[in-house]
Amino acid sequence: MAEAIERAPSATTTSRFDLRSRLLAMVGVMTIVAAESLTLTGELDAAAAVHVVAVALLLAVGVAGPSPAVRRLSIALATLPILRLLSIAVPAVLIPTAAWYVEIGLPALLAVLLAARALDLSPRDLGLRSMPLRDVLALGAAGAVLGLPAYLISSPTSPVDQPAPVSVLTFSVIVIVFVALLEELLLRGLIQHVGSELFARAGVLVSTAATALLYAASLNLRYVLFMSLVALLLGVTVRRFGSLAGAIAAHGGLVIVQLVVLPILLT
Amino acid sequence: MTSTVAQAIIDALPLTPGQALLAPAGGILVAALIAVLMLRLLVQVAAVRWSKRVVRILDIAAAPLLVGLVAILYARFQEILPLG
Repeated sequence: MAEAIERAPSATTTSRFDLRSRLLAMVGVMTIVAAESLTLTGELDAAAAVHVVAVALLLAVGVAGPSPAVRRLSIALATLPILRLLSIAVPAVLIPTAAWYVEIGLPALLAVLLAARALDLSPRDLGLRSMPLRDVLALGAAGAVLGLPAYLISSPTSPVDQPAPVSVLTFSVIVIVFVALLEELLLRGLIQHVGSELFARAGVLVSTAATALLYAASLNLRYVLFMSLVALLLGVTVRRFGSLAGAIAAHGGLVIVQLVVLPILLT
Repeated sequence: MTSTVAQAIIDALPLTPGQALLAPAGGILVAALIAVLMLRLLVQVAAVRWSKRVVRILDIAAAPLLVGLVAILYARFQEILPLG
């Protein structure tokens, strides 16, 4: 596709990209970090404003940055402040918490798909390809086991008011689509893939750092470390299999146990 | 807690409809959306080779913010309707 951002050369040929690109990429990342720091301190209005600056800066680098690899990574990273801006501005106390996942997740999913289109990434590039069912089930079970420590560390309250089967089923579908699928598409499918074009194997570390940044707003250091380790494992899994199916199954198992099963059983 | 629904944000949410209406975060999103849409229009009418590519990049911000605006408007109506 001629109009899409040209693909970066392989990581080996771009390992010494120029100083200007390096500087622009660093400024973009530091702006996201600054905005997240404001989120942590509860200064949400200032955080929202700095996230807008981060989006503008990263998209500007994406349009006019000197190196194709940096342009592509900037566009992929621009989805992070967009997601956070939505999660700051959209929630309201009167709307049930379960609905927040949909009203933030839907536009965030749209941002990921539009970024993939702008970067000329096919569904296969994003990791949407088949994987042996046995491996998918094994990773799903492993994720479900990890849901127990995730629950114990984060102690979430149940967003389902009444544990009626329909409510539980609806919330389960919501967390699978708008937590597991969304985060895997964004962090492993988009950011890790584009990060790997620039940093080769260290693309896994880019997606892990992005995960840690997004989970910092949980205000729970142990949870941030735990989810970063999970992200590292999921990143390695996606790199090994070339498919997101296993990572989505593992993440889905984790959030179902952490946010649906255990809060209902133990509350 | 997940990447989208975070404790730091829940702790700082406006608690009353009045506070929610005065909260600037929604306004910042709207201002950003207007700026992106204006830029998108300017790029679209500029008859240059790279305009389609730039429009695609701007859409990454424009479309999600537009959906976010719909969600904000819905929430604000839910908050102010009982007051009327």
